[in-house]
Amino acid sequence: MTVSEGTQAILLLTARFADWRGDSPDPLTPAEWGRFAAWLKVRRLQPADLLGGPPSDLLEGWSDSRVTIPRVERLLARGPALALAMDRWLGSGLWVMTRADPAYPSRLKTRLGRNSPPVLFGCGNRELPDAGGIAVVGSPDAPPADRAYSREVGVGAARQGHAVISGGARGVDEAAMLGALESGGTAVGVVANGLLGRCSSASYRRHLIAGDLALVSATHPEARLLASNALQRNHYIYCLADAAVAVRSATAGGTWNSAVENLRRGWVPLWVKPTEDAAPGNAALAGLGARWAPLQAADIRMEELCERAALPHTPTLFPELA
Amino acid sequence: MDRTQAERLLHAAVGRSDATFRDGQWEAIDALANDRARLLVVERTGWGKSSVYFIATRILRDQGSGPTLIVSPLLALMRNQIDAAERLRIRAATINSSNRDAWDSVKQRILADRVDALLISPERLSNESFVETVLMPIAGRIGLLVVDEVHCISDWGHDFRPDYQRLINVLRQLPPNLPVLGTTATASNRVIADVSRQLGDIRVQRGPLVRDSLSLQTLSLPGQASRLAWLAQRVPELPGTGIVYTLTTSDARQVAGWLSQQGIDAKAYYSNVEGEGFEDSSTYRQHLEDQLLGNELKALVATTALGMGYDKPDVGFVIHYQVPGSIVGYYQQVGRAGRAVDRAFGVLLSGREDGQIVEHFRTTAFPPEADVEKILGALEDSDGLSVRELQAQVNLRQGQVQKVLKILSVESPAPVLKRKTKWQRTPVRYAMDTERIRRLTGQRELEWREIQDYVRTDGCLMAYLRRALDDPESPDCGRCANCLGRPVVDATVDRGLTASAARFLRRAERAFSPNKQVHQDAFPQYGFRGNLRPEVRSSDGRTLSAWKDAGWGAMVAKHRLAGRYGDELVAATAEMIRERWRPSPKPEWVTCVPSLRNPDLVPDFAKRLAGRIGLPFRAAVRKIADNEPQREQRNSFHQCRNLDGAFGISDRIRATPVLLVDDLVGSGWTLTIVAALLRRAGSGPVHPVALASIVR
Repeated sequence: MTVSEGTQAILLLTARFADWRGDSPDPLTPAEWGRFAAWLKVRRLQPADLLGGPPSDLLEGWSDSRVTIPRVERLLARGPALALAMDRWLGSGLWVMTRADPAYPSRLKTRLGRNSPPVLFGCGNRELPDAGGIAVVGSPDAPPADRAYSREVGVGAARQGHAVISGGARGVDEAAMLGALESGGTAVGVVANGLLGRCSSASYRRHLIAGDLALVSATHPEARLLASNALQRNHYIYCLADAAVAVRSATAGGTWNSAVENLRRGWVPLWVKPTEDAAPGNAALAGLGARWAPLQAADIRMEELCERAALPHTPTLFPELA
Repeated sequence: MDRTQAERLLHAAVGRSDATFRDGQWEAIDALANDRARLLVVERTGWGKSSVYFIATRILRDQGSGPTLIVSPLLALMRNQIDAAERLRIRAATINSSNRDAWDSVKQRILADRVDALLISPERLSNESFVETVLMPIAGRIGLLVVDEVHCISDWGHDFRPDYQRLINVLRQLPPNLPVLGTTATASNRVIADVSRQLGDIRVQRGPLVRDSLSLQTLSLPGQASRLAWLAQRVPELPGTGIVYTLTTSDARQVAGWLSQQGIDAKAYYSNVEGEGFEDSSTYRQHLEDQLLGNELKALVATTALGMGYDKPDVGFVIHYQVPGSIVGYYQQVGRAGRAVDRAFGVLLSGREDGQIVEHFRTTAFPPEADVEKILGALEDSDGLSVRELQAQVNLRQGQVQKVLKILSVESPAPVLKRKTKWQRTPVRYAMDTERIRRLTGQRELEWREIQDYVRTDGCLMAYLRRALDDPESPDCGRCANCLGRPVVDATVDRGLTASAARFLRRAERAFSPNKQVHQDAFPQYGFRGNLRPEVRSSDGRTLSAWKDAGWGAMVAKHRLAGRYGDELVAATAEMIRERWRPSPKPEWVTCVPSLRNPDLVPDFAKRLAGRIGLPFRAAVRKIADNEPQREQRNSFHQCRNLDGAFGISDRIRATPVLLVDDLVGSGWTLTIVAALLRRAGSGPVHPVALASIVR
C-alpha cells in the first residue's frame, strides 16, 4: 500500500510524523495550507509538482509571511521521515486521505471550509466517514444510566439504518458505538490521538476488519493527547454527522464547548437527554437552543433528529454571528 | 558540478593527483548529485562504490543538502573508506547495536549538521525504539540514501533477508525528490529486474564482474575428518591470509578449534560470537575483522555473517568447508579473494553433510503455518502481549515465537505490530502466502542443483560462475583447476592427520551450567519461584558429546534406538569424569534421572558407570507422574511446568556429593529441577552428567 505523489506532497507540507519536533519547521496549519493550495491552483500547479525538482523554481511569485519558501523546502525535504511513518502506519492497515480524495467527507469540507483538516488518517471502511450519521457525545465518566441510554441510541441507529459517529473514548462513546456495531450497524469513531493503538484493540479490531467501522483522526496516529487536538476532534464529530445527541454535559469542558460551538455555527440539530439528576449542562444547552430528546432512547426516531427544522435558531444568543 | 571538478574531488579522495574515474563512476555521481536520480549500480567489489557516494555526498553537501544515510550490513566503514571520507572532509558516523552509548551524541551532531554521512545496519530499521528515538528525528534532513547490497531486497536473490524486506517497504514509500543509490556486486538479470521494479523508475548501471587473479578449484571430500586434515595441511601453504567459510556456527567453532590445535592462527566468526574481554558480539566481530585486515590471523573461519561489503584487498584464499546453497552466494564469498593481489585461490570443498544442512535451512526458512496461526490466535483475543506472555500461551520456543513475529512484522500490510514491548494484532486480514513460500522453496532447490553442477563440471569454473550471474562475457579463464587440467592446490590428504582429526571430532565434551531462574507460576507443587537459592542449585555439569555428531554423538543416537548404551560409552564417560572433568567436591555416590517410558535405559547405564568409577549406585529419584515428553516442551515456561510434580525423592538420602546421570540434556531443566529436589531432600552437591547435549 502506497500513497500517490500528490498525497505525499500534502503530507510533507501539513503532517507531523512523530511527536518529536526536532529542528523541522512546523507543518502548515489547515488555514495556511488552504492559502497555499489556493495559490497553487491559480498557478495550475499540482502538489505533486513540488516533488519534481527544486521547489524554489516553481514557487517564484509566492510570498507569505508565515508560509515562507525555506519553510516549504524544509518540509518537503522530510521524505525519509514520511517513508518511515507511512511504512509503519499503512503497513499496520491504516489509510490516509487528503481533501482531494473522492472519499473525503463532504460534510467536513462544507462546514469547515479551509479549516477542514488537509489530511485524515483512518482505519477500516473508508467510505463510512462520508456517509453521515447520528453523533453521540458525552462524558467518559457518565453514570451507568447514561451509558445504557447511549447504547440504546446506538442500537436504535443501527436498526433504523443510521451510523453512529462518536469519539471512540470510554463511557458514552464506546457504549453508543458498540451498541450500533453489535446490532449489525455501522459506526465512525473520531479519535483525538493514538489512532494506531485504538485500531489494534481487541474490541474494535474485528469490526474494522469486517468493514462496519471506521476510526479516523486528523492528528498523526501515534500522537500524545493534546487539549487542542481533543477540541478539534469534538468539532469534527459534529461536522461529520446529520444530527447529534448529547447524553451528558457539564457546563464546561470538551462536551460543553463543542456543543455550544455547534449551536453557534448551526452545523447539525442538537438533542439533549432529559436527566433525572439535572445534569446542569443538559438544561443549559436546551436553553441555548438544543432540543430535548425522548426520555426513552428506544422512542427516538432518527429521521426526526436530522430534520433541518430542528436546527437551532438562536442568533440573539450569539450576537457576533447575527 | 562537471566531470573536471568532480575529478578534483576524486584526487582528494584517493590522495593521488593522477587518479581518473573508473568506467561508470562519473556517470553515477552525475546522476545522483546533478539529476537527483535513483540509480542501481552493479559493479564488482573494489570498483569504488564508496568513492561514488562520498563524492556525491560532498557535492550535495556543498549545495546545502542534508547528510547521506548509508544502509549497510557492514558494522563499520572499512579503513580505506574512512580514509577516503576524511580526505573529502566528510564527517562520517556509525550507529549500530554496539555503540548505543554514542547514539545520543551522534544524534546531536547530526541535528547540529556536523555529520555528512551516517552508516546504519538494515536490522536497525526493524527496531522500533531505534526508529522512534534516533532515526525519525534525523529523517527530516537526509540528502542522499545509499543502500548497500541491494540485491538482498529481492526474494529472487539467493540472500533474501527479512530486515531488507522492511527496508524495501520503507523505500516504496519514499517521495521522488530524494536521490537513491543501490549498490551490489552480485545480481543476476532476474534480480536486477526485480530490484528495479520494486524501487520504481530506477536507472541501472552494470559493469563486468571478472576477477583476473583468482584460481578456482572444487574438491569432494565426503568425511569431515579428511576435510579437516586437508585444511590443516593446505592452509599454511596458501598465500597471505584468507577466509574459511562454513555453513553453521558449530562448524565454524569446530574448524577454528581444530586449526588452532594444529598451530594455525585461526578464529571463528559468526553472528553472536563472543570474545573474552569484549563488551559484546559486535565489538568482538569488529576486532576479528580488523585482525584479518591487518593480517594478524592466517584465517578467519566464518559463517555468512562475515558478510557483504567486507572489502579487504589482499585476501589470498577463500575456502569453503561445505557447499553453500547457491552459486550466487558462492560467487559473492569467493569473490572476496584476489582483488589487489596477483594470485589467489578459491577452493570449494564438498562433503557428505552439505545437502542436509542446506535442506534444513531451506525447510526452516519460513515458520510452519500452525505456529503462525497459534500466535495470531493468541494475539487476536488481546490488546497486546509481550514475547514472554505469548510463550505462556503457545508452546513454542522463544526463537520460534520471535521468528514468526519477525516474518509477520515485515509483511506489508503486517498482521502484527510491535509497540513498546507489546506485540499487537493489527486490523489487517491475513493469510499466509503459501504460494510465495512454495515459489521461494522451489527457487532454493533450483539454486542447490545449480551449485551441485558447479562441483561436478569439468568446464571452466570461472566461466561457469560468470554465466550463472548473467555476465555477458564468459571466456575460459585459463587458470582454474579445470582449465589447467590439474589441481591448483594439492588435493591429497594426509592419513595421519585424518586420524588425528577423527579423534578431535570425537571429543565434543562440553561443560554446561544449570538454569538459575525458574518461570513465575510454573511450580505450584514444588514451590520453586524466582531465582533458585544457591543451596539447592546444581553444580556445573558435563556432556560427553553433541547428539548425533561425528564423534560419540552418533553412537549415543544409535545405542539409544537399540535400547542399551554400550560399554564403550560407559568407558568414555568414566574417562571424561576421571581424567578431564574431575568434579569437586568428589562425588561419593551415583544416581540417575528415571523415566516411565524407558524404565531401564538410563538406570542400566548409570549402574555400569557407577561400577566403572567405583561408587555405589542409589535409585534415589522416582518418576511419580507420567508427564509429557520434555522434548515436546518448546519454551522455558512449558519446560518448567511440565516438570512440576513429576519426580519424587526417596526418604533416606546421603548427605554427600552425588553424580546425577541422564542420557540427553536439552534445555537443562530436568537436571536443574531433579538436582534441586535432591538437595532439598538433604543430598550434598549435585554434579550432573549426560551422554549428549541436544543443541537446537
